[in-house]
Amino acid sequence: MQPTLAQVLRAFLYLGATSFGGGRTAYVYEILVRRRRWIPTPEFLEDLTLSQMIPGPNVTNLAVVVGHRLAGLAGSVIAFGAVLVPGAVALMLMTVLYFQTGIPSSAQALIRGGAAAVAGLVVVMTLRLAATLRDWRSIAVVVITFVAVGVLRLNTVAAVLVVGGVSLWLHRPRA
Amino acid sequence: MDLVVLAATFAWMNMLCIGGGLSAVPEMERQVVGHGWVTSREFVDGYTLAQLTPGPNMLVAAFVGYRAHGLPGALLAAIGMFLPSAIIVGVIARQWEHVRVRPWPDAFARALAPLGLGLAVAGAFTVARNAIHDWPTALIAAGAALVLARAWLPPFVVILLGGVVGWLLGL
Repeated sequence: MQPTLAQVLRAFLYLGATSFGGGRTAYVYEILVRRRRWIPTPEFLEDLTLSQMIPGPNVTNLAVVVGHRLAGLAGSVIAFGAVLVPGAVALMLMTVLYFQTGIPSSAQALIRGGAAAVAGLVVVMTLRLAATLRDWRSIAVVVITFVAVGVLRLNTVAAVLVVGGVSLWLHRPRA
Repeated sequence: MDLVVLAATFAWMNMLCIGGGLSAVPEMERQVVGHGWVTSREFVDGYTLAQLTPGPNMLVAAFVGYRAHGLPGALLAAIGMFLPSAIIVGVIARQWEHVRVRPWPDAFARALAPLGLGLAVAGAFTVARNAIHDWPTALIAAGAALVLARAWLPPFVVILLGGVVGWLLGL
C-alpha cells in the first residue's frame, strides 16, 4: 500500500512527537509496519540495516530510507524533517528555560535525578543489545572498542579506524 | 568563525554515530567541553533534557549550539548533527537495489555492527560516569535499570520518576 505524501508527513510528525527514551527503531517498526502496514517486515529490516550501516543518528537515517521507499525523494525529505521538528521545538523551549530564566535549584535536583535514571536506562538497553551477540569475533570487537573508547578514553576516530579495520578483516567475505 | 567550527564539529559528530547516537557521546563531551561551549555538567543536563523531550537524543547538539551562539548556533549545530549522513544514506537508498548483493557491502555491514555496539557501551559508560556521583544517584540509576529491565513502566515515565525522586532527596 502506497501512502500519500500527506500521510507520510502525518506519520513521521507523530513519530517525532511521541518517541521518548530509547528503542526508537522498535517504535518506528510498531507504527509503520505493524499498525499502518505500509512496509512488509523483510523490507523494513533491510532498510534498518542500511540506515545503521551508514554513520549518523539512527532515527533520521531510518526516516530517510523508509521515506524514500514510501514516496521517493520527496518522501525522504518530508520524513527527515517531520521526525526532527517536534522534538527540536520542545527541546528549544526547555533549553531557553534552562539558560535564560535559569532553573531553580529544586528543578536542578529534578534534572539530576532524571539524569541518574537515564544512566540506568542506557546501561540496560545497551547491555540487552550486547547480550544478543553469540559469535566470538563480534564479542571481541565490542569489548575492545568499549575498553579503548569508554575506559581508556582514546580518540574515537583512531579507535574506529583501527578496530574497524580488524573487524572488517574478521568479517571478510569467504570465497 | 566559531559558528563554522560549531557546525563542522557536529558534522564530525554525525560521522561518529555508528549504530546509534550514543556512540558519539564520549567524543562529543570531550569536544564541546574542550571548545568551552558548555561545561560537562551542562552537557549532561542537556542530554537529560533531550531524553525528556521527544525525538532523537542527538538534538542535544541544538542545546549546545544555543548555549554557544543562541538560535543560529542551535540551528547550525542541529543541521551539522543530522544532515550529512541523511544525504549520504539518501543517495545510497536510491542505489541500494544494485549494491546489496555484492559481498563487500555485506561484510562491511556485519563488521560495523559490533563496532557500533562497542561504541554504544562506551557511550552508556560515559553517561553513567557523569550522572552517578554519590549513593542517591547510584540508587536511582539502579532502580531505573531494574524497572526498565522488567518492562514495568515506559522509559519516559521512569525518567520522570527518577527526577521526582531526585527532587524529594534534594540532590
